[in-house]
Amino acid sequence: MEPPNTETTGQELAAPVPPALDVAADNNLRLDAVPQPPRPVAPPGPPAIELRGLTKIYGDKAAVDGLSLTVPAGCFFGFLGPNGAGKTTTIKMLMGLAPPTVGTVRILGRVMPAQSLEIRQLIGVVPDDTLLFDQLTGLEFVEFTGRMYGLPRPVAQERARELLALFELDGAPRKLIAEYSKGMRKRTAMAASLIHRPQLFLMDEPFEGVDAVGARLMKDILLEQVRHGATIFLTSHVLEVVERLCDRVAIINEGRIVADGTVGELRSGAETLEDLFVRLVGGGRSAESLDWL
Amino acid sequence: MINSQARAILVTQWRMLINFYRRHGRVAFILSAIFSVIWYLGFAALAVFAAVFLADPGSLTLARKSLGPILFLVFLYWQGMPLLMASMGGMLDLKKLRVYPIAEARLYRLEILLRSSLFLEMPIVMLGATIGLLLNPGLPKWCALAPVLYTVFNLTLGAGLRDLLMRALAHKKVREVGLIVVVLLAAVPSFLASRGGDKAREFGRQLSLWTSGPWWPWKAAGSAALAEGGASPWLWLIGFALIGWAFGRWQFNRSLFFDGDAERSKEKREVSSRYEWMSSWPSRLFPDPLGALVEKEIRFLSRITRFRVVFFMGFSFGLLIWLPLASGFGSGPSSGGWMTQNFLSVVAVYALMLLSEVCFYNTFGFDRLATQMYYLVPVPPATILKAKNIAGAFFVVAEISLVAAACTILQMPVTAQKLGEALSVCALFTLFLLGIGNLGSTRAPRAMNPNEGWKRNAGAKVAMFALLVYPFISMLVGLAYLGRYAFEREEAFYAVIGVGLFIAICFYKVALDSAVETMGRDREKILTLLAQTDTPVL
Repeated sequence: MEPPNTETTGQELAAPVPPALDVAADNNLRLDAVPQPPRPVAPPGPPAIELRGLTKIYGDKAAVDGLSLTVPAGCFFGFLGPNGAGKTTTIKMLMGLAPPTVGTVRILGRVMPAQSLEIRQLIGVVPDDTLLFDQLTGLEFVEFTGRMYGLPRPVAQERARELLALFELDGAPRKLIAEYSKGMRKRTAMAASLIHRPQLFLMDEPFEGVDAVGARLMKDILLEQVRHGATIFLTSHVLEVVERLCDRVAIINEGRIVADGTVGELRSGAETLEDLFVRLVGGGRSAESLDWL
Repeated sequence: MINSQARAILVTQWRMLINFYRRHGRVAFILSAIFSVIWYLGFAALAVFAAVFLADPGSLTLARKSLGPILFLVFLYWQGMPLLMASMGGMLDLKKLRVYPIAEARLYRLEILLRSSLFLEMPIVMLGATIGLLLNPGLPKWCALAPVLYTVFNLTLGAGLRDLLMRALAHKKVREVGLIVVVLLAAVPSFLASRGGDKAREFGRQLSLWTSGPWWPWKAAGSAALAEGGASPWLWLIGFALIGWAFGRWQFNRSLFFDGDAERSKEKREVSSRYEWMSSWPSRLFPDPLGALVEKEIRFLSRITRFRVVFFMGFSFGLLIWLPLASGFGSGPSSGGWMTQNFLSVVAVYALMLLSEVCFYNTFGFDRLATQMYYLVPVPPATILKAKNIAGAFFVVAEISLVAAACTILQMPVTAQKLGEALSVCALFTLFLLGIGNLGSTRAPRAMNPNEGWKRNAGAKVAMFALLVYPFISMLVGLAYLGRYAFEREEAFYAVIGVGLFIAICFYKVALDSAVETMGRDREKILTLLAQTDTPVL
């Protein structure tokens, strides 16, 4: 099957953002902090993400424990780990949804939380689906997201319509997000994350529940964004996808980074990413220990 | 001025509300719209009345007496209604906006704006009061500021209380206790009535005295609005408005970074050895797979909010509801009479009725995934239904034991004879209700959210069928009591109950066979019906 043509979309998304961004003025943001096209290819300057000693403690348990990590700008970065390793907690801290107990977060050269408003203007997020508004239609939600980023209503409406068509979500315009399948919810969140042309994407399991056609489309769009200078930071359990897409990966286990580098650097010999992952976090469990099985 | 973000949020809030009502169909949407118009017209009429009343210099004497208590009622409505509405799911959750570039201070102002735009009842009434005070020639113009400050106080306090409550309700135990407290509060009027008219009046008088102190915000607002008491009420009122604002902001900030999942994960879920021993008795008594199924059912039911609340209600709410009848409305439990003598049986049957909602009717409604599994494992459908029935019967016995214990504490007559009576009457009811439940669970299954405490479990058809059978069971029980009265012998009572039990066993057997047949025949329909909801799967 031919991959969907994303060239048109790239042009549409590159449409100039009109200057009437009163949200920036209202929130005391400098207008130059708002993404303005054209976005530089492989932007020079600070790393997209810099984490130093990041720690998050719940009760007496450290969900994230002294995590230090650098994600270069313009990189497709995969953040891997077993269930409960601290991936979602880390991404929540990057999104500003959970304050770290200790440690510093710098995103696109800006410090969290002091410059969190500027940071939020520059990032696009695909969170877990609880951040969607169930009682809105997909179109209403994507348009609403655009307006939250300061796009004038007509621009937000136009882009929302185009994004929904691109993600093939325009078939049932009156359907509420509450009635969407898991894959549709993920595609809606992805469409919303693109509407303001962010410089950095933070994505928590973006391909979870998405069918093969939808996933292919999403991957093409993300690769296109990276080619245009954006940085992608994603978590995923689908290691084949990460291996194929990501320039660099980090593996987290029990709140700590156990590997960080390019896939090529981390693998030894003919090892796949899955072999590497299991070697680092698998703990040597084997069904052979159960004689009866 | 409202900026474009705020406009978008307000528009989205209204879209959500409209979508929320539209989802229930066009007719329901139109009826909701008509009801809303009538509802708000009613409050607009109240506002006009408040304006006319407060604009008249001649009504100031009456206003001085009544404004404080009226503002107290305004306070209760203002704080209570939004809390109830918040659980409907129609409110926009501002926490979800944290990922967007909006300053937190602005989010708080938006929260206040949203609340005042969604719950317009009291702002409308307060607007009427403000206009009335402005038009009253006998009062200085600055008196009209009092309703405005009172509005600020109520809006911000309400926002703070809602945030506080929402965070507290993230904890399962708090949610259950809260629900039980609300249920018990509903029984307070009836309980007060049972204590006698004088005591109820005394309670009312004490409450009135307690709420009329000059330090209360409603009293301060009333005095300030009518230019009474000099600067003191104004100081109180301004202080309350500032405290309300600070409290609301504080709670809002705490809620903004509240991680419910993380908080819930902190809750201890250790299984005690006593619980383990108590819930594993079926495996010691029955062979597998029946033993394993009964054990699973007991563990599962005892862990879900809905069941725990209903089980608690059975021996608490029921007692409070029936106590006034037993004590003859104030004459005390020693007065005798049929109700006092048979209090245990009446309350036990009432508790059984409550319990049937969660234990008998729609037994597949809670464990939807398990229902799929029942069709995959090599266990006969009859065994599955019997296991559910045995678990239900176990909880009936446990409930009756607790009712008997509570009756003993309340000094109601509880003897071995009364306990035997209650158990035999409940056995009769239980067998019939189990039969109805088996039919309903297989013919009209409905997916239920185990964490919702209030919704009816049984569908309309099952409820209707149960209503048709109740008179028949009641007639059998009535005949038993009549037999004992006529022959003045206990044996007459048990003879009729014995005949009833025989009929009940026949009914149960026929219903079980029919349910088993339906389970085999309509498996696809059952699984489809159980999948038709967006509530969580447990």
